[in-house]
Amino acid sequence: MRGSQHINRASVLWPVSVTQAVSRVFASALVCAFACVFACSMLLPISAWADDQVSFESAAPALDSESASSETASGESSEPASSGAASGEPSGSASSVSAVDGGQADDAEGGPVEVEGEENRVDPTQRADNSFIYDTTVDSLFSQPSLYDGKIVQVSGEAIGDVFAESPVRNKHFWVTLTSVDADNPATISVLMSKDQAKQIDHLGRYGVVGTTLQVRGIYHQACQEHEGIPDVHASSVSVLARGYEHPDLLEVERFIPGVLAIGLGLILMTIYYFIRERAR
Amino acid sequence: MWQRLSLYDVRVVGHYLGVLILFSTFGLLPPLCIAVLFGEWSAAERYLLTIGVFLVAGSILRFLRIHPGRLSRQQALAVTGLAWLVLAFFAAIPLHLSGHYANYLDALFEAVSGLTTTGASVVSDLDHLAYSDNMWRFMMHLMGGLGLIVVGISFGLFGKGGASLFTSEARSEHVVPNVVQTARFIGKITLVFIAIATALVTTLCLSIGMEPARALLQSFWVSISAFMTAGFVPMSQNIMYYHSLAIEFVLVLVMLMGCINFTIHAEIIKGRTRSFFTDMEVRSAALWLAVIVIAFMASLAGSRLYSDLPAMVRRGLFMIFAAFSTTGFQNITTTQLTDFLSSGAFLVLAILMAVGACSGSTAGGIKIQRFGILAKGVVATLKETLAPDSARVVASYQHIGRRMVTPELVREATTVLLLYGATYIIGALAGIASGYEASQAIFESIAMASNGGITSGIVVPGMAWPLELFYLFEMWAGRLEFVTLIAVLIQIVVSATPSSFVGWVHARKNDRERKTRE
Repeated sequence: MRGSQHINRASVLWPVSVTQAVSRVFASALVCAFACVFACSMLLPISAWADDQVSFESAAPALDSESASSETASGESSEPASSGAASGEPSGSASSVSAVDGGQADDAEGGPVEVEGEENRVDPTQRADNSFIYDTTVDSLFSQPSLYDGKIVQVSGEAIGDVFAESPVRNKHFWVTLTSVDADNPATISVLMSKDQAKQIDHLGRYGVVGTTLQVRGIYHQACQEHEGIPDVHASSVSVLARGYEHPDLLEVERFIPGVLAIGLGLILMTIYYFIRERAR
Repeated sequence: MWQRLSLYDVRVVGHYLGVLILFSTFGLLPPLCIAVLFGEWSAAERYLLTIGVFLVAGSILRFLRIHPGRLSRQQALAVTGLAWLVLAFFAAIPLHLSGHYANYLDALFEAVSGLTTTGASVVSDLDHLAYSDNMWRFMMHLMGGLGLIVVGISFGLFGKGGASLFTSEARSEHVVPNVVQTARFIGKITLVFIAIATALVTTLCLSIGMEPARALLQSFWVSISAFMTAGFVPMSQNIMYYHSLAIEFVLVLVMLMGCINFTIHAEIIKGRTRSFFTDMEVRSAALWLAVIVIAFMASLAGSRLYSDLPAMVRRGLFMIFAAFSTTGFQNITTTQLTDFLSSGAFLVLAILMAVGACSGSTAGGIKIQRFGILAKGVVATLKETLAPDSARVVASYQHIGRRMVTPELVREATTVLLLYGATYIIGALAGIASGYEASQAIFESIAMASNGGITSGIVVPGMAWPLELFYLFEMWAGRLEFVTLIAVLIQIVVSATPSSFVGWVHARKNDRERKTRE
C-alpha cells in the first residue's frame, strides 16, 4: 500500500515530460562535454595551460653546461660521495660513442669537452643540492623516488616501445621509455628529450629487438608538475652506450612438427567421435 | 541433503568441458595469425602446438559421453564452475612456453587473471613480449569478459541446457527472452564498442607518432581491456605509457560503457533512454561516484604531490573510474599508489573496487544493485516496524520498469555480500600472514576477489606460491560470484566422500531430528 502511494506521489512530482526533458538535456550535455574535452585534449593539453614548458626550455642549457662541466671535471666518476647511489654504471664510457648534448656538452668527435681549471662547477640557476649528478639506476628511481626528486640524475637503460611526441601539436620534445638494464630489477622511466636527442635511437626495444642503450642525464621528478604528476626525467644530455640490434626468429620447419602432429591427432580424434556419434544414432 | 554427482553427471560435465575446450581453439587462431604475420616463428610453433593440445584434450573429454543429453541444473553448475579453471590450465601452456613467466603457476595465474578479467599480471619483461602472446592475453580477456558460457551459448554449443548455464555464470538477466539471442546481443554490442574505441585510440596513437601496426594492435588490446573492464595492458608502464590525456579520456568512457548493465544498453538501443535515467542502479552509481570523487579529491588535496589541480584531476579521476569499473588500469606507478597517495585515497580505491559497478555488466565486485536492494530492504523493515499491524509494506525499485524487492532478492544479496566480505578478509589475512603491510594486503585481496586488478605491489613475478594460489582462488570465486563455485566445491566434496559415510551422517541427522520432535 505504502509502496504504491509513494510511487503515485513520485509520478506527480516527476511527470514524464519533465523526466524526458531532463534526460535529453543530460544526454546533450554529455555529448557536448565529450566533444569539448576531446577537442581540448587534442589541441590544448593540460600541460600547455600550466605554461611550465619554459622551465624545461630554460633548464636545458643550464643543465647542458652543468653536465659538460661535471663530465669533464670528474672524468670517470661524476657522482658525489654523498649521493650513496653506487651503481657501477660506466659513466665514462658515454664518451666512447657519439654523444649529442644539444650540441654543447660533448664535442662532435664524441669525447667530452675539456674545461680547464674547473671542478664541480656550480650552476647558479640550480639550488645548491642540485649541483651534483646522481649516477643511479632506473630501478632506484622507481623504488626510491623521493631520494632523487628534483635532482640531476644520470641513468642508463634500454629505449623500448615507441617514441611519442609530447603532444600532437608540440613536436619539439619527445617521450622515450627507458627500461632497466638489470633484468633482476625491472623498472621503467619516461624520459622527455629533444628531437636531436631522440634521433640517436637506432632501435626501440620490443620482441626480437634489443633497443639502443642510452645514458640520460637530466632532472628527475617523482611527480612532474609540468606533466600532471607522472614520474619522469627531463633530459639535458643523452648519449648512446650501446647500439640496438635485431635478433629475429629463424624459421625452422622441423620445430613445427610437434604442433602439426598434435593437430593431426586432434583432428583424427574428432573424426572418430563424429563417426561413433553418427553410428549410435 | 547435498546432491551428489553420479558417474553419469561426471561424464556429461566432462563432455561439455571438452566442447568448451574445443571451441576455445578459435581463440588461439588470432595469436597464430599475428605470429605468422609478424614473423614470430617461435611463438607460431607454440601456438600451433597449443592448438593441437586443445584439440586432443577436448576430443578425449568429449568421448566421456557420446550423447550427453540435456544439461541438468546440477551439471550446468559444475560445467560453469570448472570451465574457468580447466580452460585456464590449457590457456597457460603458450604463456609458460614463452619464457616470460617464472614458472607454470605464474602462467596459470596470468591465465586465470585474463579469463576472469582481473587484469593483475605477473609477466616478466612485458615490453619485449611477442605480439602474438599479447594477442592471446587479450583474447582471454575477450572470452572471459563476455563469459565463457555466454560465448558458448551464442554459438549453440550447449543445446537446450543453455538457460541454466547462463544463470550459473553470474548472469541472471535476459536482454531478450531467448537465451541464445541474449548471448548474441551481448557479443554484438561488445564488438561495436570495441571497434569504435579501437578506431578512436588508433587515431590518437597515430597523432602522437606511433607506428601504424603497433597503434592498431595496442588500440585494439586496450579497447578490449577497457570494455571488458579487465586490466591487462601491452606495456609495463600501463596507460601512463601513452602520455595522452585524450587516450585516457576515451578509455574512461569505454570503461564506463562496460560497467553498465547490458539490458540497459538494449533499452537505449531500442530508444528507451528513460530506462537509463530512472534505473535504480544507475542513479545509485552516480550518487556513489559523486560521494567517492569528493572524498578522494579531498584526501588527495592533502597529499604532498597530487595537491595541484591538473595532476589531481587527471590522475585522480582516471584512477577512480579504473577502480569503480574494476578495470584496473593505472596512470600512476605502483610506488606512487602506495607511497604518494594518502592512506585515505588508497582506502577509497579499495572500497571502490570492493563495491564494483552495475550488475549484468562486465564489471566485478559486489555490485551496486545488491547494495540498493539491501538498502530498500532495510527501509522496508523500518517501515514495517513503524506501520500498523494491518499495513502491508511493499518495497520496489526501478530496473526496466518497476520491480518488487522480494525476500529472495534480499537473501541473495545478503549471501553474496557476506561471501565477498569474508573472502576480502581471509585474503587480507593471508597477505598479512605472508609478511606484507596490512593496508597493502587488504588492498590486494580486494583487488583479486573483486576482479579489480589494481596491484599495490604484492602480485609480482615469482611471488610466494601459497599466496598466489589463494589469490588465484579469489579471482575464480569472484568472477562466479561465489555461489556457483561453492556449489561445485560442495558437489565435488560430497561426491568424493564414501557413500557409507554420507549415509551414516544422514542417518545421524535423521535420528537427531526424530529425537527433537519427540
